[in-house]
Amino acid sequence: MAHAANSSLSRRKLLQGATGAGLAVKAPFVFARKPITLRVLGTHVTLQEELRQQAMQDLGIEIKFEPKGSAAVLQKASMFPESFDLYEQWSNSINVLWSSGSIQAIETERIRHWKEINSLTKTGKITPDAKFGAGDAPYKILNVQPGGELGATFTGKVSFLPYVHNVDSFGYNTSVIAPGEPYKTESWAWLFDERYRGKVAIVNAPTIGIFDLALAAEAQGLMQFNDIGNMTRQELDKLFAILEDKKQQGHFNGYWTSVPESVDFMKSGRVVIESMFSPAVSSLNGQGIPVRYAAPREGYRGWHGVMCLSSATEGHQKDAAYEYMNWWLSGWAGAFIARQGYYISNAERSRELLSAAEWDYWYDGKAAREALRGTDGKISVHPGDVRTGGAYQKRFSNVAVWNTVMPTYDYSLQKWYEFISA
Amino acid sequence: MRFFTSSIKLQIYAAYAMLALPIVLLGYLTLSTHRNFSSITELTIEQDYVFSLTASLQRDVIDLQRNVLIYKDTASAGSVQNAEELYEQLQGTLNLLKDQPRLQAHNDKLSRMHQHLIDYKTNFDIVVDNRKQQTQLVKNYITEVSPSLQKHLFDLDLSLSVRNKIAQHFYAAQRNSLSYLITSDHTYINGFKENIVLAEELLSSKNKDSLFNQEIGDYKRNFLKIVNLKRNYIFLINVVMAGSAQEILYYANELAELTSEHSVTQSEQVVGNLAKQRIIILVFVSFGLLMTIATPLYFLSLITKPIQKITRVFKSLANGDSIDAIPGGDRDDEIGMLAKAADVFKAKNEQTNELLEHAKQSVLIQQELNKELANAKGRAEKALSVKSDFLANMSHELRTPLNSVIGYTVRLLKKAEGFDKRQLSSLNAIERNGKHLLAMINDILDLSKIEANKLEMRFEPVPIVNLCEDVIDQMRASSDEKSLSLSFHNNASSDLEITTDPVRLTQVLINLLSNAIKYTEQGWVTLTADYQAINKRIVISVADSGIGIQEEDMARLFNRFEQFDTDTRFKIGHGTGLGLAIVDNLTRLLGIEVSATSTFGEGSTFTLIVPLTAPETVTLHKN
Repeated sequence: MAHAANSSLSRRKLLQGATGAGLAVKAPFVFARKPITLRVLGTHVTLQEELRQQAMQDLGIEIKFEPKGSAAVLQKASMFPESFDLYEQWSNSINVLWSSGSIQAIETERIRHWKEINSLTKTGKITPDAKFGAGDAPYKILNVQPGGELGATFTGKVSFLPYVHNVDSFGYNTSVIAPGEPYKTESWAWLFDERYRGKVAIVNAPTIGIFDLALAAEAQGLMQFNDIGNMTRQELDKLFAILEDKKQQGHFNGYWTSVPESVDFMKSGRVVIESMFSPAVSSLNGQGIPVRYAAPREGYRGWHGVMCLSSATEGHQKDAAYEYMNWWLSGWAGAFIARQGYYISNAERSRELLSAAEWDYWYDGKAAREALRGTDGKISVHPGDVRTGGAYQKRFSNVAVWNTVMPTYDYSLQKWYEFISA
Repeated sequence: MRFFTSSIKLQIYAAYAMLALPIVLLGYLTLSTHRNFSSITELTIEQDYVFSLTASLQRDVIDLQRNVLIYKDTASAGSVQNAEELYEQLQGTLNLLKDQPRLQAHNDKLSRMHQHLIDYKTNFDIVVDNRKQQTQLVKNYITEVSPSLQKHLFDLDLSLSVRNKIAQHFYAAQRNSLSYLITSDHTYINGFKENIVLAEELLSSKNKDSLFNQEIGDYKRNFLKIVNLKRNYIFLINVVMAGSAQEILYYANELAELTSEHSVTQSEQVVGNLAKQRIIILVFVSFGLLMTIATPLYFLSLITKPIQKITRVFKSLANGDSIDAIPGGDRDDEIGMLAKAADVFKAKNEQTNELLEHAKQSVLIQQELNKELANAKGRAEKALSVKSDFLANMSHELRTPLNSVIGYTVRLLKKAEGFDKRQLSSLNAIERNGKHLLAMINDILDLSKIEANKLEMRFEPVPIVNLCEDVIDQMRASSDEKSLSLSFHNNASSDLEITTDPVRLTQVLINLLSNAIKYTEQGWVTLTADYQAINKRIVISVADSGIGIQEEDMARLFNRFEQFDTDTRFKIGHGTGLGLAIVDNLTRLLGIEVSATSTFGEGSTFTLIVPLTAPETVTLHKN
């Protein structure tokens, strides 16, 4: 399970805003070599019209996007592998898809730039002294082992194509909460700070929000987890006891299920601190609401996009699917999403398509030398702005936990219900 | 201000406007107050309505959640039905809330609630779908897939111990899978997977039947599909739908609070407005009262008092009193005009007074003149009376010797044989002139008596026809003397009696007949009596065929001593000239109208209109 239903829809909506003129109307004029229509099932985060048009133009094939909410796409993919060719979502859906047999292994040989893919998904560490991050770190579930299970050992067969990824944390309104120092004073503990009682929101998704809450509980010193990425029932009981206690005190104002909703929560003053996705922060800053995206000293909650091949796709259809996967890693798409704040697994190939100023800001964590435009053509970064958390390496060296479907997922669903309905 | 003060009319209009103004404003304020009250009432009603809607919304959401949880456990059609109905109900309630004008500002919240409700419904549909699929899969898994697997296992060529071990693993896997479905504890999934892996390991060395391997794979996938379905719908119910429900509840609460706050604000505003209006009303009422008191006072001083003053002025002017100055003369308005009119009146009055003074003087002079005149008249009358007395006395004194002369002459003439012709002629001349003189004296005497008011009238019933005949008889000698035809035409009854003085009437008739005969040389003289019963009078006329009277002489006809011309006097010769004057005086005393008509050279007619009764001033003389 990944980002809650609709969250990706909104993420895309926010990112795109008014689509750059010309992009949407550019028709694919290359004659299809084969009468192939590639069906891509996924969320709005990566199923963006500009990407589709560009891919069709570059590949000369017909591509059909079917964007849905996270839960819905996972459900559909796990039940009906024949309904799609490619599936784009988050790493936390891999276990479900793989065990249900909905997806087939991808051969790394057929991935043209496989070698360029960085170590985050290959070794789990972007730098030698980086944290692995608890939970289903992508590298742990990438490789298809000889026994059919997923593991860290490279076999030439992978369960997903590593591509888009990022780190999440919480955002806070600096007109209410004094700005903290990244990695030093900024802490998940703030989510439980009693000063913000009644002004706190959490993303309504157990595979995501539960880690924000667990990190907060740990940071507050309320409890310790043996493995925060794999909580036991007892730990869940303890955590939810703490949460229910907080809830009784009226600590939590709401549980958002979409990015616009999280924007509205903050914008309306309903909350001053909440779990957030980066597009929401950009949007609020664009609207003049001083929200800072924290770089918590405990580390981020990481998420990794996955592109999976349907177990039912074969032949020319499969060739086209590989073409599309290769296209994604060929630079243009990576540069495109970089301007939306996401990272691509082979960033160097996109570097030549980004200006030095863009690269310095988005990947190197340096202050923007000039105003930078988003994919909608509007200025999204003003000169002097610095990306919170710093450079790509710095951020991904500080992943505390990855979005994960834990073994106790079923139990957490029950506890989650009790928590939000209490 | 000059414009206003220049006209009382305008001032009255202005005063009425000032009186009307507070009334109009009070009316407006009353309306406004009423509006405020009704708006506060509406507000309360609306607020209650919103409260009831949000309350029912919250109740229905909780009810919906309850039904969904029931459905999760039991998959009962009834709870789906209930959920559908609640969904419809919630849609309706939301639409009603959207229609609330007060909530227009919170349309975004309502839209979010609506979106959450739609999401809720969409997800519930997925839940129902998943749950149905799950039921079918579970049924299939228990009744078909598992028994089939067991059956096929026994078809395989395996040693008993291996088969038993594999069968035990399958049983364990089956037990684990069912335990998972009941408890949702993930450890059972692991147990399931482990047992399947163990069974596969045992089989892999012995079994070459790929079909069976395929079957095991299907068996495993079948269960994992069930797990996915279950996880999915539980995720939807426990996370997504619960989140939507929470948000709907949150916004319902928010709307109720906002409505409450809004109502409080509105109420405060209305109360504030009412307080303001109260003050304004108070001010206007005071102003109105002030105007009500001030207006009559103002007009009293502006109009009534000046009018009273001017009225007094007019009264004084009417009484002729002198006025020093007229109040309000310097004003520009109607009062000023009135004052100017009074001024004019005063001037006229003074003029009139002067004229009156002049008239008084004139009257005084007149009165003195009148007095003098009266004195003069008295003296004249006295003189006249003296003259008349003198004449009466003189006549008497003259008649006595004259009668004596006539008497002696008559005695002498009776013994005419002693006298010669010349002597007889002289004696006849003496007698004739004597009688003429006597007649003259008698006339003068009569006239004098009349003028001296000493003529006594004796009214008595008189047979008028006889009287006329007597007069004709008396005059016969005179007419015969001149060979004139003298006739009496009677149109009255012979026994008609009228009340009059017979002596004087006879005198009148004789005078008239004498005149007629005197002025007629030839022809005729008639006396006519006409009785006019209707007018109760008798008209007696004396007509002749004599010389007539000239028109210019008609006016002087009845004057004393008027004989017309010397020619006539010469021709006619004798006569005192008193005849018609006596007629005039006598007829006046008798109440007879006398008139004359004449055509010069052809004759005259004298007409007497004799009443049947005596004039009222006369006392009837009874024999």
